[in-house]
Amino acid sequence: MSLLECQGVRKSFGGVRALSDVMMSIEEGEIVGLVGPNGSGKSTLINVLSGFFPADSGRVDFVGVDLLGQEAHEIAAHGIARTFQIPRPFATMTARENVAVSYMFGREKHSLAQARVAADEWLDFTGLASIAESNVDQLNLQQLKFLELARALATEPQLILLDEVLAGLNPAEIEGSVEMIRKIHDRGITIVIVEHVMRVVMSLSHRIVVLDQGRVIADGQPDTVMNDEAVISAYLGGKRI
Amino acid sequence: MNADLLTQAAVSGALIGGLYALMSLGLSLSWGALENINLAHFMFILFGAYVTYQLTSSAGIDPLLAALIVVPLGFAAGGLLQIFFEWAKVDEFKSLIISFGLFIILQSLARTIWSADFRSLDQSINPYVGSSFTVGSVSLQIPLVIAFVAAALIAFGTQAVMGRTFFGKAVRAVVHDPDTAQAFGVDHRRVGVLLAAIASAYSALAGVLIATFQSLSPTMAVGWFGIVFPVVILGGLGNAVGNFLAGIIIGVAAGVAAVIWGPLSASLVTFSIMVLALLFRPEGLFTRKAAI
Amino acid sequence: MKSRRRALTGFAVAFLILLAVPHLAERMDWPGFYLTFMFTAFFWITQSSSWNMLTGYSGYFSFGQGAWFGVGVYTTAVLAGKQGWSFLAALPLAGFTALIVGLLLGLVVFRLRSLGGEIFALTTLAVAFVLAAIARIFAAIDGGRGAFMTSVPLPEFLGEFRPAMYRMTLVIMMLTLVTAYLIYESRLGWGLFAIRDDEQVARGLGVPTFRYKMAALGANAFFGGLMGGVWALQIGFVTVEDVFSIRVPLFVILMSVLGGTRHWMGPVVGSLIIFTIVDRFNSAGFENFNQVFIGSLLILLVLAVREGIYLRIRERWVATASLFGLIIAASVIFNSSSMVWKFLWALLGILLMALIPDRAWQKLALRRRPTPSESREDRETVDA
Ligand SMILES: Nc1ncnc2c1ncn2[C@@H]1O[C@H](COP(=O)(O)OP(=O)(O)O)[C@@H](O)[C@H]1O
Ligand SMILES: [Mg+2]
Repeated sequence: MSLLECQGVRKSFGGVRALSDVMMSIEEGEIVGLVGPNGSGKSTLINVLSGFFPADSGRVDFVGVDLLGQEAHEIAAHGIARTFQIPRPFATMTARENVAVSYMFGREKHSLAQARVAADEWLDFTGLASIAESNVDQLNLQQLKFLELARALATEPQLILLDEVLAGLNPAEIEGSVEMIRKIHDRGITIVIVEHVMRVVMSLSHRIVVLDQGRVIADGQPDTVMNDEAVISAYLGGKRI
Repeated sequence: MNADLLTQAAVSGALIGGLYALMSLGLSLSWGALENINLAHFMFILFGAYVTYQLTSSAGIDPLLAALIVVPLGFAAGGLLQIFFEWAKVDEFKSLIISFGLFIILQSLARTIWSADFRSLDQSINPYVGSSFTVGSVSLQIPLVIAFVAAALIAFGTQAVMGRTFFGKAVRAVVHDPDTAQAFGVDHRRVGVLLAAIASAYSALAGVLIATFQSLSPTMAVGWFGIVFPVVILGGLGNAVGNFLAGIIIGVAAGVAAVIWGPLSASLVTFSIMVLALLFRPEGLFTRKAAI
Repeated sequence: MKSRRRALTGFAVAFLILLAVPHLAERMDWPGFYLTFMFTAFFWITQSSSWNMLTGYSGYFSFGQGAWFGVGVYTTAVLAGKQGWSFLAALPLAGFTALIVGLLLGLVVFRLRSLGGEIFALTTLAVAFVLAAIARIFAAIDGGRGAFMTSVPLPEFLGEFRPAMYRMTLVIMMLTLVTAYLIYESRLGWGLFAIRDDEQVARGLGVPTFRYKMAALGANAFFGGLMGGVWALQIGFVTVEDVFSIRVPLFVILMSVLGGTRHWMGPVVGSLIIFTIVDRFNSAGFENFNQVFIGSLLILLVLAVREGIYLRIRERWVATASLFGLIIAASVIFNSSSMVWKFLWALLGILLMALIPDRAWQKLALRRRPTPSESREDRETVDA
């Protein structure tokens, strides 16, 4: 059975159909690249899967549990974590406190004392140990993105949804981030990654799902998908063949 | 309880609802378009009423003519306050707390100037109070009719200006996309100050109209909370016509409730309506998501 | 946890010392108003600390303190004043009634995901107003005639009226402070801080935001109401106008903002300073200026001191303690006015010192100022 399976997921904003009949499954241990032109609904799908927006209709099964209609915090407890396209750290807390809060809640509930220890492990893992005491307004973009990762990891997820973790980073930073994503995958965590840099997605992903105007237009091996005509036309100005 | 009484209550309620709408419009605009929850509007209303009272009782000016002085004062006060808000870079919460502080100061000032006693304009100098005419079995109080007409004109006028003129477009641009507005040469600060000034002028006018038929006391402003907030929320932030219709709904509901369950029940009913609105139509009854 | 045990011991010691004060007062023949001054301070500390459990911790700004207070006052006024219940039997119900009203409000407002804190703030502003209307309508509560508490007997073991008030308010204050501290040092507290910083993100990380906000609101309403229940005795003749006025929320906001809303001690410090100033204003006959003073101070503080003065005082604790001792000693030597005045001068000294901006302080201080990470060491936080 798949780790996650969505069927007929729809979501509209007023008149805008952001997602229509999205069908997708994620297997345990995969890295799935979720791509598509701007505004194709990638972030919306992540928001729906993580419970930030309720879907209008459809089904989302995660290890046999229907997630639709569940609150975001319940979904987090099932083992799905996410990061944000634009980092959203807790602004009045230090880096360590950010991670500790996440560990206290997340998949299992931990006490404050346990969190103090665990937070440092995750900061170590993401290479942020040196800035543990810093307030988040002193961090640069890559550190903020890694803090997002540390915070998501601290919830001890089975599946992690990464929304444009590489956007805005320079080539060197991108290399480091790709390494990090591989390291996360090595811990047995399934990953869905939304990304624009095709080179990176192609090399990281086992499988690629392409969204266009809220629909899945292709799903398969990276090479096959990128040579698909519908995908090419979606990227090259949307002219239908 | 007979049908006549209820009809009378509903009609009077609708009329005074127009005044409620005008009292709420300033706050609604400043909240919806400027993101300032400016409680000082309650004081603009209160001082509008007291200054009118003062002008009429000591200088013998017709209370409605006093508007010619009071409204520009309100305009200036609101503009100045907005300049201060801009200068201090207040956000929504700070504006709430700061204007709450102003509310307390000005209320205390009003008590110092006019004492805590009730003040009202005598019939000898105020031609409006107590005058009325009847249509069928329903009597219409003239000051309420005047207030209603003024409120309707302002509501629809404001909506028209917001929808059609450059100023209206500038306001919308500033609210939705300040950066683009800036790029097109709209100075969001100037637009904000002008809008705040207009909003406060409306509140001052509401004060003038209140002085034509009600007794004034410094603590009455707190009592307006139970009216103004339901209207603002029901009407949808920044939506002038929605605000007007909401005023009428609240006015009728309060008037009818007062007849059926006694005058004290009115605020319970209006508050319940507000809660229901919050539960089921948090964006307001008459708003398609973004009014401005 | 070690730090928690130490703190709870501290609370116990403080409680025992304060409990001894009425005996001391009798022995040393202090003026009666010393006790009144102290238990009124306890009242304000309780009100502002309970407010802070909701607003300081979760960021949901509340004008509703007057409502919880008022519900508490009227609960004992009706049960003990009118129905003849024994006071101590009625008192817990003051807390629980306020708790229920608070949770009902939360059920409505916190369910509204799309609405931010502003709607919450305004709704709480309207709540006191509606409760006032209810009290006026129903004769069983007030009916516009007020309620007498003056003939309510108090159990003998509490002593005379003043010591009795002192003991009851002291117990409630300690309960409130211990609760505020325990929340601050627990998962509930950190969940609330996360909500304050970014509620959506908090929820996504697994914080059950609705339940937590309800808990914070419940604690706020409960302690506000419980203290209100005792305060009915001090008011004596309870009227709607007095009880549901804007006074309580106004003071509570001011006190907490002054002291700082991010730490459980902030409201304690803020309450002591504001209450002492206002009390001396009144005794000097400046009652009418109180509101103007308070309103102006509120505006100034919101603009100038964002994090509140408690954290600054703690960073400068050596200077604070010395200054406090110095002023008290000087006023003991040079003037013979009452202890409360001396206390006021000392507090004003501390307040002025705390208002000195960090940068100027650095230049003034002889010692090297600790770097930010050092100064954070003693914060009772995750990184401690
Ligand atoms: N909160 C929202 N409110 C209204 N429309 C939205 C919202 N979020 C996304 N949309 C719309 O849904 C569509 C998909 O957006 P999004 O999921 O952000 O795309 P992507 O992440 O693929 O660039 C776009 O048309 C966007 O305008
Ligand atoms: Mg996106």
